[in-house]
Amino acid sequence: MVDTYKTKAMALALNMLGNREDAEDACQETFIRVYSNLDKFDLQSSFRNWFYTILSNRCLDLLRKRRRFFSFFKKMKEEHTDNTSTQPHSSSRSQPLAPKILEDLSPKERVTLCLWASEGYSSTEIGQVMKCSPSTARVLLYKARKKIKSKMEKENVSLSNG
Amino acid sequence: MFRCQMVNFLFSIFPFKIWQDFLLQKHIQNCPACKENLASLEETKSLLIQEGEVGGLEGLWPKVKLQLTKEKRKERLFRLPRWGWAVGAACLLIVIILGIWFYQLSPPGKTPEEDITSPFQIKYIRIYDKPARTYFFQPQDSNMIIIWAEKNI
Repeated sequence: MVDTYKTKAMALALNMLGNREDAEDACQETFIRVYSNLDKFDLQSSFRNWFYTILSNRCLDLLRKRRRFFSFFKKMKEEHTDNTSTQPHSSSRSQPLAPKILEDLSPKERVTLCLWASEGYSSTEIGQVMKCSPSTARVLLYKARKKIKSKMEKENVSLSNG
Repeated sequence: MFRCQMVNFLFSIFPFKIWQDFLLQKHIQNCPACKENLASLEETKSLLIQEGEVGGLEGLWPKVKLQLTKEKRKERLFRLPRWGWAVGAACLLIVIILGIWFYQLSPPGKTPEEDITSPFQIKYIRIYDKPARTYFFQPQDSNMIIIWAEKNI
């Protein structure tokens, strides 16, 4: 199972989280959860979808935690403007790998986009993975694609002007 | 073009998924002009890290294995054997039976009502060793009783 899914899981986690350490943590925990909950898996459903559900939930949790941490850190930084040299402990962990364009997307939009682009999932399959309706998945995907396109166009304009 | 702008405006002002999906299916998905505003599959793929770019993952399985071994060990420590529940239930039953038995053996204590010192009773009032003339008054709608004793001449 690890051999079959490790590269796919890692690519998805990297695209969602943007840094290798967090992605490795997410993958590791996903494999452990999958292994310990194998008895709960419904044999009639797709194992790949179930696996990606666990992985995307883990990534979403990590993204939420990271957001909370950075908003807390930002608040702290604003309160203690004197200590500008201090950095959050996890800053060394957050070396962005995914392009900055993806940063504008919400966590759910990122999951949708990654599943669509990397795995070739349809909106129905994305809905199954994310436990939402296909229409919600379609809307999320549309928003993500639109945001990316506008960002790409902006970058192209700034590059051609610069 | 105007229609596309109108659809985009309607899409953005009503943030309801059902409505937005309706617009998507009715117009955006079929409109070439609207599709141009969306990143294509190739463009999106070029932004994402592909499976081949992930790099070495040799360290992943040993970490997973170590974690699983730890969890199994923890489970084994805290897991009761199958008959453990039966033993636990039997012990609890014995404790309950013993408790009832001891309760029955111990002498019955007085109930709170019984425990109160016996009420004050007046059999008769004597003044100078002679029975006194006694009057009882109880005002209307009151529990107060006034006792009036007079020397019996």
